[in-house]
Amino acid sequence: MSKCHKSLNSMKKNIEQLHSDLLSGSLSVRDLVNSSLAITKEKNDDIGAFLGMYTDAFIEEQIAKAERMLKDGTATAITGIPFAIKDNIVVKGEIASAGSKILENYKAVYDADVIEALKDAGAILTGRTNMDEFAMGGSTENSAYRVTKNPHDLTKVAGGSSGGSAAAVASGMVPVALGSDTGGSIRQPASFCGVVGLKTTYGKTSRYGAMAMGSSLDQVGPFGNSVRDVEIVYDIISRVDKRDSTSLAKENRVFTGVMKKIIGVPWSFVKREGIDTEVLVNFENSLKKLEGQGYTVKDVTIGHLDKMLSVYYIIMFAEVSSNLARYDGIRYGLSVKGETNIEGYAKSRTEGFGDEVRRRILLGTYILSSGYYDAYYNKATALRNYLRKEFAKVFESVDVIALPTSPVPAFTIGERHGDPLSMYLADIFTVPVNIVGVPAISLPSGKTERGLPLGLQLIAPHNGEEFLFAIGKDFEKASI
Amino acid sequence: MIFTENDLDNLARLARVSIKSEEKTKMLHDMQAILEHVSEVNSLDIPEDVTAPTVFNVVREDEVLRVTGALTETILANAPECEGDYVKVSQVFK
Repeated sequence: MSKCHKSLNSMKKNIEQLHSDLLSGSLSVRDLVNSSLAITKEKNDDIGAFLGMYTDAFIEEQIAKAERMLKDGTATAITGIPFAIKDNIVVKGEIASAGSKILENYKAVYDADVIEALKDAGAILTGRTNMDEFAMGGSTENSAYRVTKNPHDLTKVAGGSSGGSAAAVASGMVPVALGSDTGGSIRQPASFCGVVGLKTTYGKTSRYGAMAMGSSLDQVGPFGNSVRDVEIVYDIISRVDKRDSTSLAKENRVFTGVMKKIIGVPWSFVKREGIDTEVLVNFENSLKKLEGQGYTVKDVTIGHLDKMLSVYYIIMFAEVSSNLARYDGIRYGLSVKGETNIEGYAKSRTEGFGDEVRRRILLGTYILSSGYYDAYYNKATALRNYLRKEFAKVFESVDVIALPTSPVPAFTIGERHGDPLSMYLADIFTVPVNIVGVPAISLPSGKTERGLPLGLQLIAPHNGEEFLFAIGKDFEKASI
Repeated sequence: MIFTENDLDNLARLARVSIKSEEKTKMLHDMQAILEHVSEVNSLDIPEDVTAPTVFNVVREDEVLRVTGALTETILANAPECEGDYVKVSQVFK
């Protein structure tokens, strides 16, 4: 019996199946964790999903706790389930580097709220996954350590910035993982790697302990092999946290939407220059599948949607330049001495930060400087408010808005790396979601002729995660 | 829009980073291209009725929730230099 289990990859089983195997005793926590660690060891050299594994003592402690919970009847749906954690989410006593040299040896002093939630539920956190430095990028090529390769084609990127978490799930190293999404950093790598990725409503998951990039945009969220797996993790990590002042209060988490089975598509925005033909055909086929499940697809218009990439980048640059001011080489992190303290700051930050991070800090400093603030930041904020109104208007007549997750399938490693603007343009379909603060999911929707996964993105109104799960499950049924 | 090497040096000084001389040409070029692209928002008309969403303060009592000093050692373990219970820095006033 146990031999049979070992020959299968348990990481590809759904969480509910694993949970029932663990409860019945046909699978032990230790065997499940060992098999996750063994697959990781076997595949990580090629794929580069993990930057490091957590300490043995910590993993042992978690196994013991999960075994105890399974025995005494306090087990939750994720007790004993292996998780991979993006390297910008802190786990007490373990290294969290955010893919940056400046935090290479940084040991976290406390647990992020989402980590506390997973630990309380008896999850097994196995290690930290690769990412673009401080989550700045869409390919994981901006990691200071290594490039994460796409498990479906090792010459292609895994996407980013949470490329390591997406690749860890896609290659069967773990059944589920956490990432963070500021402008598409969960959904786009999920799409490139053929897994499900969820960006929650802004304020649904706590940002306490998730290293800040763009504080008004960042959200932590799960990756999994199915909608149900992602939903299970979401139910555990989505909770009120008074340590994050933007965490939504209980009364602001209520959703009263009633499903009308209508999907809105801003066609004039989708059929744009630069969208890959296979992506477009796949998107049209995905909508047909949903029509087959009883949904109606309707054309919608959202004003200035094509300008939201610029709005997003302006706001994000501004927030980056403020948030990353904390890395000064004085209290923690890489420290390079200068003649004066001020010279020391510059030396530490220049040696510790990569090109993209310094570029965004400089752009944010420019945008926020006197004389430019009105033209950029204030204008972007006004457009952000405008987009919120536009979305609210559209959601009066549709349940969700559908878009491809990315205008292109996973691109070749190195292809866009030297050209930041071309990298930014690939975020066109994901950034409006973060600007408005609504939830969105990326669902695997098939593959290109060359075998690269594609993703369908569904966007719901604030707090409408349940719509994403319901429609996502219908889409999965239609895809079998 | 003109974004010059001089502007770049000035920004780098303000942001406490440096750009090595061999990186300058590319950094300048990339930043110019990005700024030119995002400048498209400057000329957009936004309807007058767009108001900012209600923003409110989230406040809490200023109370000590942890035992004073309980984390001092752990936090200082990450400091590049310390002395006793303090982070050590170079002299500020000379």
